Amino acid sequence: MNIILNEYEWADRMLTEKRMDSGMYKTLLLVAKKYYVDGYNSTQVTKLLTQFMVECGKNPNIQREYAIMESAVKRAKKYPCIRLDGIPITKPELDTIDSIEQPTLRRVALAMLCDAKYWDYAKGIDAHWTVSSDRDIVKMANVSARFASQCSMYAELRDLGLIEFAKKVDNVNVRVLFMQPGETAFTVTDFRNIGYQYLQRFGGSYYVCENCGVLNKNLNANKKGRPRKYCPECATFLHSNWREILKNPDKFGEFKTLA
Amino acid sequence: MSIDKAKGIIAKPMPREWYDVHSLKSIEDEETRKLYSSIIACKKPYFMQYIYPSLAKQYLQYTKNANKNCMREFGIQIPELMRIPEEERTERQSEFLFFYNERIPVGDHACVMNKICHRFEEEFDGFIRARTKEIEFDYTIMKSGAEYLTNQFKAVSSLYSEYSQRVKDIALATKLDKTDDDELTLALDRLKEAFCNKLSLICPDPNVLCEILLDVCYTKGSTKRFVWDMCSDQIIHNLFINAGRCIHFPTRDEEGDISYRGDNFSIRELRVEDTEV
Repeated sequence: MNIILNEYEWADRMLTEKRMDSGMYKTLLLVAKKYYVDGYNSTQVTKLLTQFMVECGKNPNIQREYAIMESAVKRAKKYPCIRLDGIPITKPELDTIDSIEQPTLRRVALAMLCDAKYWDYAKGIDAHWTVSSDRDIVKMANVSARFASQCSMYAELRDLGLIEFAKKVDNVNVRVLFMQPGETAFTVTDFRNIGYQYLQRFGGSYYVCENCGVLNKNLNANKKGRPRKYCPECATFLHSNWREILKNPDKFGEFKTLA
Repeated sequence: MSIDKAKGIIAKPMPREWYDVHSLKSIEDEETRKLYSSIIACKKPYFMQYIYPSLAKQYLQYTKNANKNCMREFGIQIPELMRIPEEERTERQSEFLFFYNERIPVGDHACVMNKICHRFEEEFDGFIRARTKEIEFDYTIMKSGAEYLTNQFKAVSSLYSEYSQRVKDIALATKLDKTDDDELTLALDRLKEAFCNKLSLICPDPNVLCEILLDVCYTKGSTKRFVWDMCSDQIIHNLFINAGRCIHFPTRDEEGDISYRGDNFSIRELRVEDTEV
């Protein structure tokens, strides 16, 4: 699950660029949330979403696609539109993370902290529970680990007293225990590659993709040549569609098809 | 009970306390409550997960999550934890196992049906996986050897991705809309028809189209549904031609070497001439 910090801005961009980047349901949900924030009622939102679907090449007259839209409209009303510029990490929190011996554990702890802070904000409570799956957390932390190592990482963090597990045997959420108030030391502005954002503080070669804005590690840092401009996904897309992009520069704009 | 009602049989409804935990809690007399709680039938038996897919899903999700928690807490999986003798388990381990058994969505007691179910599971555990590893499937037996253009291949490939996405969307919409299976089948049929038309525009020759679709679907690890949805007749025809226009089928034969459900069968060969196809 890809967490979007500023849902309003993201939906606005989808509307302007007439795209459905996060799948049909999620895009419609976020666009519907934006419309509700703008003061439209359910009927108006349904009409506007129908229009948006047509612009994106979907057919809202098909019962299936209409059902997806209807569900998105209903659900959007229940949940607020998240508008965050970044997740602030305070100095005591960062000190706690820095004090962990294993570097991979530090990144996982940071990813958990960010996730817990995001859901605290989204739900309007101060419970400090993470909701994303451990697979997503580890992915956000830029750590590659199999099931057994993921579990041992969680166990180590629990032993360090930084997290606690749920009491229910089938509840896999964890509670972050090291959330502390204080001066902001570092802000996470993007939930993709939180691990790299943390590592960037210690130097190393990183680049921001000019298309999707994701921070990536420069794997060819020691090699001579032009620095990388696009992340591997955007570069692959550009490589396979460059003819179409050159033919229709208006359609692709600044080549923002993957963001 | 609902089946009896549909038949017109007047059936006396079961007391809710017999199968509902919340109703059971409302019983005031402590002794009755204890007795009822020891014999309450609030869970479907284990084997029923093969009858109700939603129950199977619930059970799998529960075991997966509980296993994950067990690995995090004790560094071992639940079956290993169960193998530890009771007196050697720590307090937390015993507590974990107690709640695991309490909250499990199916009743896995040693009744005859559950025993049969477990026996089947043991017998077929990894059966298909082992067979697929043994035999590497050569999809070229379904091909006719027709040639096609790269442009056609690319166009069909993009339609394949679109089709897979649309099937996923339909499945999601069905889940959200809670529509029945008939409507789902109808929607899939409509989608199939629409894509058949699109494909015939890209490649009007069904023989060539089948060739492209086989290459698109069978070179990837993903679903092969698209090719079978679009040109199953052509595949059967190609198989028939590649087998030298012969059909092999089992027939009942007392001296046959294949035994099935108490009867013996042997494989017969039938050559079909052009005019009969």
